[in-house]
Formats: sequence, structure tokens, C-alpha cells
Amino acid sequence: MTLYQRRKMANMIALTLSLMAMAFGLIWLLWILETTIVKGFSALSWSLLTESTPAAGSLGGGLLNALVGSLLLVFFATVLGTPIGLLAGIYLVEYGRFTWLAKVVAFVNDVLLAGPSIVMGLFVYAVIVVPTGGYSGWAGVVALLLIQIPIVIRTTENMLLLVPQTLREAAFALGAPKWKMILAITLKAARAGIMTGILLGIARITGETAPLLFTALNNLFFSVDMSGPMANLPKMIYDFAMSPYPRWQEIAWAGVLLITMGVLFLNILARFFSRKKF
Amino acid sequence: MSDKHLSTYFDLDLKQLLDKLIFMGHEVEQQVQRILSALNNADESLIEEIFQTEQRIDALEVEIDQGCSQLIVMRQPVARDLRFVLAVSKAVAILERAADETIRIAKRIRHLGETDSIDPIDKKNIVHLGEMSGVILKHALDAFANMDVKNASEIMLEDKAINLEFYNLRDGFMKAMKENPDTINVYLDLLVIVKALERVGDYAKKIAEFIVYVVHGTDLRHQQ
Amino acid sequence: MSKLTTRDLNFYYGDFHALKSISLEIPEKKVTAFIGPSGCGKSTLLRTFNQMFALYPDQRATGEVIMNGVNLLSGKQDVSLLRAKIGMVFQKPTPFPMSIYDNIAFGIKLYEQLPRSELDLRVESALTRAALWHEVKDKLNQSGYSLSGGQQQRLCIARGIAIEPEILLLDEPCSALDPISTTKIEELITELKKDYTVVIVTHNMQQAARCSDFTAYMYLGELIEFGKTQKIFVKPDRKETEDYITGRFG
Repeated sequence: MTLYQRRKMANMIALTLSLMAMAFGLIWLLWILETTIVKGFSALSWSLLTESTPAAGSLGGGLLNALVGSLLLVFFATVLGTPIGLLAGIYLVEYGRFTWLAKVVAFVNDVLLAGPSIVMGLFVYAVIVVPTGGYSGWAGVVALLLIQIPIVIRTTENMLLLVPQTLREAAFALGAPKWKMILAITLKAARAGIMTGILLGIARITGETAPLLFTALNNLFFSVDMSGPMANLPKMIYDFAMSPYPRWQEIAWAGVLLITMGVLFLNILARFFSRKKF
Repeated sequence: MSDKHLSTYFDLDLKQLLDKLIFMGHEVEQQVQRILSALNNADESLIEEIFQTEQRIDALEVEIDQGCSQLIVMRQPVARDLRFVLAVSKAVAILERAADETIRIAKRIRHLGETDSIDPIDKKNIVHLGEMSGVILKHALDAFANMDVKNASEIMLEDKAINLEFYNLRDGFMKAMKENPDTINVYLDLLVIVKALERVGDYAKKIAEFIVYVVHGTDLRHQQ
Repeated sequence: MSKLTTRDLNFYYGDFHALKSISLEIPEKKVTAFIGPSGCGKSTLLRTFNQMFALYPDQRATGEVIMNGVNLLSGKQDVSLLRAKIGMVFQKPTPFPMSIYDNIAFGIKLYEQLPRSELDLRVESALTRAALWHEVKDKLNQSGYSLSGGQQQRLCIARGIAIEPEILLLDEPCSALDPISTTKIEELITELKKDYTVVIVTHNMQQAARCSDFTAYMYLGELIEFGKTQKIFVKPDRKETEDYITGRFG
């Protein structure tokens, strides 16, 4: 066998192995999607969006309370977390670039980013739920913030670092002040990437269960009171799927479908933004 | 820092250009030697050889000039390299004119026919002037090949000696013509010959001036 | 007459001594080229003129850089106002992420509040002087990134001259461009010296020979030779200069 033939052979083997690996991963993904769609689709109905979760063992009902609860939690986490993350990211790249403080912040942020979400939940339980004497939507928002902010900081940091330094220098060379340079030049140049990061952050917290276990808990009834326990999709799915009641299981599957579609939509939106260049 | 270019091919191109110029100079030197032999013995075949060599020298002039323009296009020489290429391009024209002087002399010799008609003392003096011209040409080419500025200044002195010799001969010829108008025919030819030999010395001096231009960047032409 | 003078200028990147006692005079309304091998300090020297190094904490300069009788290194100058007087164009084109029009207007708006009609005129004038107006006049609202590399670079030059600087610094402005764009920029440089003092850093020695009036050769942070371009390229005084420009460097 010539060297060339051996090389071709090695290429064939490597290609086959990687195709098999890809197929293995894809099978599970498609399986999950298939199960979600088949099981969730049959449970879809208008009442899902108009009625709250039914009492144990009874029929009918929907997941309006969980849906609204999740939206509220995610909404507040995003509205509060995005500016904080954005500003911190700007500090790290534009102001603190060469300082030890920025290095420490970036390191701590990396730790938070990699930290298990259950830890965030327990932490918020200890510092908010216990002292205030009860589970609440706000506690859930704080737990989600702890997950979302590091993501936004990290993406903002990375995206700003991708902006060529000469672009900054070009703005400075015109005599532009720093804040003007950041607003008009670097943020603008990085905005597609930052937007993508924010959307991915939202997608991430939409599906988080662990931080809500000890914070927002759950609520079987419709409530928009953020200072009380709050229904939310992940926790609802967790509780209902484990229950012995067929209707609850059905609703859980519908919830799974909604959350999957929501996350998918956010990812596609993020894709769209990341491709859009100025 | 070395004296070599980063590009060895650039060095090679420059060296080839110089080699060809020196080869052409050598041909001109030999023309002068042939002239001196012809003065002693106006051999028609020798005169013929001089005319044929002239064609080779003309061809060399064209070839070297092409080499210069090609090098300028390919390498865009600057500073010393630029001065060198300019000097070669000009030296080649100068050498060609020096060769033309030998043709002028050859024609005069042919016109004179029997060289026996020349006064032996005059002949001896003319040959001496010719030898000086041959030597200065050789010195100029050697100095150019080595870019030797020190020898270049000696060549300037040699040219002065040749000029003096020429003036002496010319004055002698004028005196002889005045004394014996019958010899005017012969002496007019001889005058052309010595003037041409003196010119060869001038050209050698110009080549020496180019050496100074290449090495120091100063233009010595038209300066006393 | 000299527009910018440096005296005993030293520059340090941390502990690295990048410029060693540079003293030179940049003549007014002429083009001065800095040449030398990579790392010789020519870009560094350029960046001390508009205090670009001040953005980085480990870079510092000592000595004097004098413009209009004032030492720029004294720290008493307002850096932003100074930079408005010294425009800079970089090696890679750096259009801002905004429209062609806004790219030019950005700098003008930093210093002047003009009615729209007047701003339009200023933008047109800058683009015209940068020989770009005819190519972009119908697409002023398109992104600066939609232009070709050469056009982007001329846009950057237009942006620089829109704020009427006194000096224009060009840091290898053609190294990313094709020969036609390069020729246009070189033409432009020759045009610009009627109104501005131009300093250009270039790796292309033919370019320095083509479009500069004065040339400075730098090596290892030292100014080896400064003189008329014609002299530098025909008969430089220093052997080091001659070795470098003839390619005998090494």
C-alpha cells in the first residue's frame, strides 16, 4: 500500500468515525424534539393560555399562571441584569483594561459563569428567602440575575475586545472624549454580538429550574405579586411531570413544548442578530 | 553590515553588468594596441580587424545598455546602486566613443598609406602618446572594476600628462608644417591621429570621474 | 520652517527603550517620510506626536515635542484639543460603524454645532479634498464598510482633514491597498501638502521616494539620518542609510 493510499484510508476512517459521532448526538437531539412535539402537541389547546393550572386530579385547566410567572421573572431579570452586565462589561474593556481590579472582576465573573445554578438558588435562599421569611418572585429574579449577569458581562467583554484597537485610536485621534468614543464607536461596532449575548442569556434563564427551586418556588394559582411565591414553567414542569395525575403530566409536556420553542426562537433570533453586520 | 544585497540575484546582475563593461573596455584597449602596431606597419589585414572589432564593440554597447534598463526595471536601484547603474550606462557610451576614435585613426592610417612617409622621431612620439593612452585606459578600467577612488585621482594626473604631450606634438607639427609646407598633407593626418589619442585619454579620465560619483556621490564633471 | 520639533525625545514601552534621544524638525507644509526596518520606532515616533501612547499606562515619553512653540509633553496641553490639530490615518482602514456621511460628520460635530446645510457643505468639501466625493456622493447614507479598501482609506483621510488639522500623520496608509488605490493615495498626499504638514510612515521605500520631500531613516530607536528625500535616495551621508535603502541590510 502506498503512502498516498494509506492517507486516503486514514481519511476515510476518520470521516466515518466523525459522522458516526455526529449521528449519535443528533439522534438524541431529534428524539428529544420528537418526544416534546408529539407529547406536547396533543396537549396544546386554547385553555392552556387562558386558564391556570388545575387542582390535583381534576381535568381541564392550563398553565397561564406558570407562563405569566416565567415571563415576569425573565422580564425583570433581563431588565435589571442587562444594564448591569453591559456596564460591567464596558468597564472591563474600556476603562479598567490594564488594572488589577478588572482582572479580578473578570476572574470572579468566570467563576460565576461556571458555577452550578443550584448554588445560586441556595445562596439566594440563604440571603433573601430566609431573612424575608418566605419564597418570592423577587428572590427568583435575584437568582436568575446571578446567572444572567455573568453571561452578559462575558459576551459584552468578548465583543468589545473584538473591536479593533485602531478603531478606538481613530476616534481618539479626532479628539473624541472617551464616553463619546464608547457610545458612538465601540458599542455600535459590537452591538450585534452584544445583542446576541443578551438573547442567549435570556434563553438560558428561561429554562433554569434549579435557581427557582428555593426562591420563587411555585404557585398553583394565578398571581402577579412579585413578593409572593411565583408560578413558573420550569418548576411547574418539574412538579407536574413527576405527579401521578395524567392531566398534570399532559400540561407538563405542553409546558416543555412551549419552553423549547421559546428557547429555539431566541436562539434563532440571536443567530439573526449575530449575522447582521453594520 | 555586509556589502552584499539581501538578494544574491541583485548582486549577480550588478556583477554581470560590470563584467560586460570591463570586457568591452578590454576590447577598446586592444583596438588601441592594434592602432599602435598599424602605425609601425600599415598592414591592411590589421586595419580590417580594427573595423570588424568595432562592430563587436557597438553590439556590446547596445547589450550593456539593455542590461542597465532591465536592471532599473527589475530592481529599482537607489543610492549607490543607482549611481553605479547610471555610471555604467554612461561609461558604456564613453567607451564606444573611445572606440570610434580608434576607427578615426585607422582611417587616417589607411589614408596615409605607407607609414614610411612619417618622420621616425614623430612616429616614435606618436606611438609613445598612444602607449600612454592605452595605459590610462587600462588604469581607468581596473579602477572602475574595483571602484578604487585612490587610483582614480592618479588617472586625472595621467590625463594631464597626456594633454601636455599632445600640445608638444601639436606645436611640433605646426612648426614642421610652417617650415616645409609640402608636409602639410601628412601632418594634417598626424594631427587628427594625435588628437584622437588625446581624446582616448580624456575618455579614460571621464570613466575615472564616474568612480568618484559612484563612491562619493559627487559629480566632478565640468569642474576644474 | 519647522512645524513640529522634537528635542532629546525618549520613549519607553515599560522597560524597553524604544526611542533614543530623537531630535528632528518636521518642515511645515511638506511631506516627511519615516523609513526603517520593523521595530525601528518609526510608528512609535509618529504616535508621540498626537499623544496616542497616553492611552496605555505602561508607555511614556520624555523630552520635548514642540508644536507652535508649546511642548506637548509638558502635560499642560488638553489632549483632545491637541489631537484635533493632529489628524491620524492608520495602516488598516478604520471607518466607523456608521454611514459615510456620519463618518465625516462625527469629527466635525465634536467641535462645532452647525446647521445641517452647513454640515453638508463641510462633508462635501472634506470628501472632495480626499478625492472621494464623486465616488460616494450618491450613497452617503450607506455604511462606511460598503466601500473598497482604498475608498475606506480615503474616507479616513477625509475624516481626518474634515476637522481642519494642522498636521496629518499617516501610519503606513497604503500597506493594505492595491497599486491603483496606492497611486490615488499618493496623489492625494502630494495634493494635501499644499494645506497640511504631512508625516508618513512607510515600509515601501519607493513610496517614500515618490511622495515625500524629506526622509528620516531610523534604526533600533535611533534617528540615523534626516534629509531631503532626493539626497537620501541618491547619496545619503551615512553608510547605514545607504545599506538599508539599497537592500544591503542584514
